[in-house]
Amino acid sequence: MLLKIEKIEVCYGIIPAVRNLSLEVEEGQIVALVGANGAGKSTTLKALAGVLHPRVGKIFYNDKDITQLSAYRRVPIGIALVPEGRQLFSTLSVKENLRLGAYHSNDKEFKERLKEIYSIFPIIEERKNQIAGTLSGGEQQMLAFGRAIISKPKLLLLDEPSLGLAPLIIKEVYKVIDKIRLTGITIVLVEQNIKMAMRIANYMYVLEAGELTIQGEPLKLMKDENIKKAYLG
Amino acid sequence: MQGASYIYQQIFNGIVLGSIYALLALGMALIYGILGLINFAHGALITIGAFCFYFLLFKLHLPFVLVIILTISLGGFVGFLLEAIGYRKLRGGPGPSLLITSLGIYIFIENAIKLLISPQPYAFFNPPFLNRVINSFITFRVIDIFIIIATIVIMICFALFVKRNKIGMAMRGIAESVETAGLVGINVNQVIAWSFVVASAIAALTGFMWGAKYGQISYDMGFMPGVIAFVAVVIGGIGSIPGAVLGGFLIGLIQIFTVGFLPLGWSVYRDAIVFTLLIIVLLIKPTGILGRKESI
Repeated sequence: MLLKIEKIEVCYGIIPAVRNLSLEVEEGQIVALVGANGAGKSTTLKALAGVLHPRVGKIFYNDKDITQLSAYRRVPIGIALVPEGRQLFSTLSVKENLRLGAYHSNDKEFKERLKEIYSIFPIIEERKNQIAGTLSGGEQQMLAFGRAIISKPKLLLLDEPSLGLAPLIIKEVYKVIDKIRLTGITIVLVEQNIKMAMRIANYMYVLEAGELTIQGEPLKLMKDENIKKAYLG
Repeated sequence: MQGASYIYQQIFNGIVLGSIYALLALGMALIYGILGLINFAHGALITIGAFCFYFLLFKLHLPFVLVIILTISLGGFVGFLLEAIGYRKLRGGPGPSLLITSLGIYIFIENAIKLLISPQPYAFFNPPFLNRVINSFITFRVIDIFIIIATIVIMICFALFVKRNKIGMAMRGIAESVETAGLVGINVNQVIAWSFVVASAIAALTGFMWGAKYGQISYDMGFMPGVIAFVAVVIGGIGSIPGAVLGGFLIGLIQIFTVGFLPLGWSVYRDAIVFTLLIIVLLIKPTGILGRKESI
């Protein structure tokens, strides 16, 4: 088991946003966390990335307890987040963004990885000297992927990768996610667009008001009456 | 009434003084960009640098180049301590607590020097080669040239550092977002410590420049240059390092011109004129000359 969450409670200040949540992620899978706004999906992902730390419960990565490990220490052991809204360094160039994504590697390793990233995202190479803030939304999302993948993660956390993008671009983004899966990277995907998530995920967890309600393979969930009513219309 | 060479002389003098302000403002802008902190303790590094240089050169008689290296190192080390002891725990708290701490640190260092070393000013004798006067079209000393060249070298190195080096790049990243910087794997504490080391090391060197230029050092010598460097940061555009450097040169020139071109009695107002300029710039362009637009 690559990732195991055991009964975590995560709070903003004193208000718990996630309660008693347990989940497991197997290597090579795409696991989706879905649910409405405020269900606690992003909070869970932030706990995995180390931005927030659970007050109760434990997170195991490769059987190691990482519950209290700082965010910046999780990147070298193979956990990378593509944050909601992309959060690029908008005044830095595309290449500089990638350099910071590979912060824990030296210049030589960076050059090698840069080639790999350029081969996955040709558009990034075309724009390498441009200031990140001037890229289009889709290009920014690609750069956000590139900046995360350049750190050679085993586990990639995607927070609402389709947010604020045009439908055509969303399709592109999901093609890229598929491409990333083929390189062997395990993915935890947070998504409000449940239909999109169902198409790509191996396993899904549905969250509601900070708690886990239903889980299972997408094909099974699709047949679930409650899910149909609540999310698929 | 005055010849062309007199005007050039004043411009030259202004550039020398402006160089010192620009170096100080660069460090202040760097720290402001990263922490949003107006680091008043920056001025104390000038005093520390000046006294360090004085004791190593005139009391211990170490060679000049070694003394410069040791002064810069001590400045960097003090900067590291300031951040680790003074600021790190306060980060993320309310902004004023950092500001007040920096003022407190300044007052502490100033009084420590007053108590431990002397409340009296010390005469700062340069090594003879720095005092050599060169008379050509304009008149200057070797120290003036040293200040200008050192400033140019430091600025070029700094520009390369933030453009090419990953720690320098990380400084720019942190200035944008501390949280994102942590997420991509940057050790934020370490990079912030480095910015204090860099800014403080440069400030310590300006302490030597100030002493060598004006021939006197005292426990409170860092206060005014520190405040003026802050004004340079604001005039140039808060958050912009090139702006801060520009502001530093501008203030240097204006102060020298006040003394050089206005009637004799006006020279006492040279600091007042700087603050008047500050008010005017803030009225016309509140973001400063090169500042980005910020919504208020």
